[in-house]
Amino acid sequence: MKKYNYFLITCISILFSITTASAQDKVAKIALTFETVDSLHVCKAFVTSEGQPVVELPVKLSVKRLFTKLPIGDAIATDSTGVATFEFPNDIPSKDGKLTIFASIVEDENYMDTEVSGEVKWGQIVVSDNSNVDERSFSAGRDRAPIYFIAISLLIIGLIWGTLLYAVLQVFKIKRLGKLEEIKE
Amino acid sequence: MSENINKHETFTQAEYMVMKDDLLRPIEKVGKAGKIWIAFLVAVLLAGVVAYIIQETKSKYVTTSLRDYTMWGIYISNFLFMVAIGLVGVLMSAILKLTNFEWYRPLSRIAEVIAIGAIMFGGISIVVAMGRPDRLLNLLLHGRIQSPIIWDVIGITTDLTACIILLFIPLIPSLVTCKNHLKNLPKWQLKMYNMLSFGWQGTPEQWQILKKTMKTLTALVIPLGVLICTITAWLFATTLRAEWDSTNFGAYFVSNAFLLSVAVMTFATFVFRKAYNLEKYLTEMHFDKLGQAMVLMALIHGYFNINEYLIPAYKMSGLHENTLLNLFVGKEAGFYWSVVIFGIIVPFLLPLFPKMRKPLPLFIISIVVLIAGWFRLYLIVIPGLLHPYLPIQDVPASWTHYFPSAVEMTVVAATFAGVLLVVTLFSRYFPIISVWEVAEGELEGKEEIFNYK
Amino acid sequence: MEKENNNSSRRNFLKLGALGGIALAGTAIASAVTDESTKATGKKVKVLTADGKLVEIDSSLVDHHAANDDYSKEEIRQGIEGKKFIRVIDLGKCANERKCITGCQKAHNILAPVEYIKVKKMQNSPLESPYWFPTMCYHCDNPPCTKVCPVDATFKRSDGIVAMDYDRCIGCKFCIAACPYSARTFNFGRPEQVKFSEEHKNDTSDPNHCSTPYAQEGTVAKCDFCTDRSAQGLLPACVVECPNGAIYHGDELEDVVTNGEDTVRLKKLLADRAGYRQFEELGTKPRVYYLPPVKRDFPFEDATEAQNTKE
Repeated sequence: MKKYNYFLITCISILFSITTASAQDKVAKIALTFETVDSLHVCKAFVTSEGQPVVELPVKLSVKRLFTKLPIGDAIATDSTGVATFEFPNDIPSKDGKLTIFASIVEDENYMDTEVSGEVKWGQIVVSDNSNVDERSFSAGRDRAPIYFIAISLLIIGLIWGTLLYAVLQVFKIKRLGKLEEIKE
Repeated sequence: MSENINKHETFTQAEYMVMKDDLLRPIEKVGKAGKIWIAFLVAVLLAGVVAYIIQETKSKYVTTSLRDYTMWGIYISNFLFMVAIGLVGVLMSAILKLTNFEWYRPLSRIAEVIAIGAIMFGGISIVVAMGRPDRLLNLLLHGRIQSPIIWDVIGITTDLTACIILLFIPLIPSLVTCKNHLKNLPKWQLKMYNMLSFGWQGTPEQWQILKKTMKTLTALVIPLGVLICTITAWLFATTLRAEWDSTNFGAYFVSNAFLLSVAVMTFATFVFRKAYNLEKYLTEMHFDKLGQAMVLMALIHGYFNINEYLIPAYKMSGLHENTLLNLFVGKEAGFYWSVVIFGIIVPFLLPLFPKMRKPLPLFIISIVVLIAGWFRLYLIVIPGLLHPYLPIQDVPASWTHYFPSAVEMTVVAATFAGVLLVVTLFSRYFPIISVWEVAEGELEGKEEIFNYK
Repeated sequence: MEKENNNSSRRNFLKLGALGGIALAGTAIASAVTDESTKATGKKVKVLTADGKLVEIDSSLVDHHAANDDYSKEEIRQGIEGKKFIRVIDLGKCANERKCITGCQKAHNILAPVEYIKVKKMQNSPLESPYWFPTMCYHCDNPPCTKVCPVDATFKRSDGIVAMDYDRCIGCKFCIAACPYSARTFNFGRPEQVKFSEEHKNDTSDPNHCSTPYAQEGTVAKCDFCTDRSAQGLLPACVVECPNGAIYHGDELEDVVTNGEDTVRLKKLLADRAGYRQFEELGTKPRVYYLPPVKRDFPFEDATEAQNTKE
């Protein structure tokens, strides 16, 4: 009998954990809105579940970046009307000003993980400056050497090879003179 | 035609004939010893070619001792050595000529040939060190003017061309002498002399052009030679490595080159003197003067050496500490101090004594200086590589030290054989002493050439 | 000289054309992807979520940037547009696990003892504490290596990466001599490596696989910030593999770095934690910052075994 007790207790525990786990099956929907109030960027996440606003639910805000999402501040819980209000900083860099902002519910005991995103032009425009590769320098490519350097190098090379060419021409001059002398004799 | 040769000269026929005989004899006959010597050099050269083929077909990891940290080995230090002795043309033919030191006269052509051989095999030494010699053309197609290697490539080609022209132009009158004097040589050889003599008749106009061109070229080749040597120094000085990050490097390398040039000149002069019985032309006076030149060059190089090593040692900055202590009292101490003693102190001290400036003692000193000079350049390249800024840790044992492999040593030996072969072969086909320049010296009453005992 | 001008003007024209084309393609793809209702392409791509989980998702959900999936020569030289890669390494978190080293080796199909990223034990002075120091190519903004390359085989890109063109390198090893950080390695043709490279030529099985191949024999190789992965928004192998999250990788223009788990703003991180660069006084302007091990997560432990003892 004792054996069966243990078996029963295990079965009931498993069933219990399954039910509590599936209690997470509550689906929450987030509606993300963006407002600008007195030059302050404000994000509002309105969380509903089965038509009813959800209160005291932590919502995380993040912004999409190249490799990952950058979290903005800490998680803020929804207030009595089911809205979590975030202040969004205005110094997040973006190539064209557009930012993709995510509001997400993560690892909450009662609700499934959800995420919703929206695009808004709140980014601080940052233009990538290619001057470090475009400018002429010693580190740059072959076609971007400093002009003074190219000029001086070509000058030196030109002078030296010019002199060598002159010497070779003089040898041919000797040959010509020799031929003349031969004809004379 | 042969009578015309003497039309414009005014010393006795007898004297001139004796001179011609002496100086042209090596071209006429090659004795048994000469043949064995050439065969030996060719054998070493071939061994080097075989070693290089082995290096390229089997992996360099197995055939050379080069590793990630010591990725430059004796190929590079050998290249530095070759460029250094390549300055001998500048020193002997150019500087002495332009400063009216008449004792250059029999030495100038020897110097030029050594310079050409050395620069050629210096370039070969560098190509052997390349990882992808099949992409050599990239240097032309994609070369960056900002790179010191491109400066080096341009410089070496220019210097080689200049030395060849500078060798060839004074050779023209001698070629005609050869053509006329040596009748029983193979036909092709006589034909070659004829072609290369460019219709030389010895007319006053031709002499004028010749002399003027020679003067221009010798003036050009001085800054050119110094520039080449400095550029090879800049291969190291343009990097941030502590051991090479020195403003002194250009002067250090150039002064080293001058010292080694005097040494190699002494070496070659002695060998030719003995091998071709040229005692009358390569006299004891020349060795006396070379010995004095050696003292001067050793002094100058010693000065730059002190600047290079003593002053950083005084400060013992953390950047240099490891390498310097290693050189002065550590693993490489025996090496370093031998190089200083035999490479700087010996050539400075010993030739101060007149007895040491005799041919044989000076010859031995020059050999010692050359060996020490080769190792000096080795000490510049390799110990520095073993003490980078960030410590070497967790690597296989072979990465922490460097000793050249058999393949590397064979190839380097082959480059030496190559230089010697170039010089030897040249001396067998062309007069190694400029006949007319010596005669000219005699002609213009320069007693120095022959009356010195 | 004229030929050089013609070549450079032609090259400039081609560059302009290529850039324009890429910009157009990039905007087209970007706008297509940021639209919520994208069509699934059916091609699966492995990505790292913000919590460090590796998931496989449809490639349409990954924002493909300017680069295509297979590199052409022009693109290697241009760099990924609008990015400037940067790295911050937290020395307080490095415990010499060497997972970054093995991860990098597997991702690039290279064998020990070749290491693009090395972990060194550093101790600045006897009274200071020793610390583990991960070091790799710093992709300097004033690179001493690109200055000396005779054939432009190593070059600085607009995205900050100092790249290697293995097809052009002549193996002169001048860049290795010039690098003060000993960041570069040379392929001497070690027999085991040659065999391995041959066998694993088309092996992309490693989860962190980086498509940049190991250098050809006789050429120079180094860390490339896993260029092709960065183009797809995938973190480099070493960043992913580090169990302590010591390496933060990111885009300077976005002002964000991440180690896979934590994403932080770059400027704030460097300011708060006193980030510095190694050998700043050399003027190389490296793109890797270090955070001094002020508040260590765990005490320093010496290495218990020697690595890379096999030749």
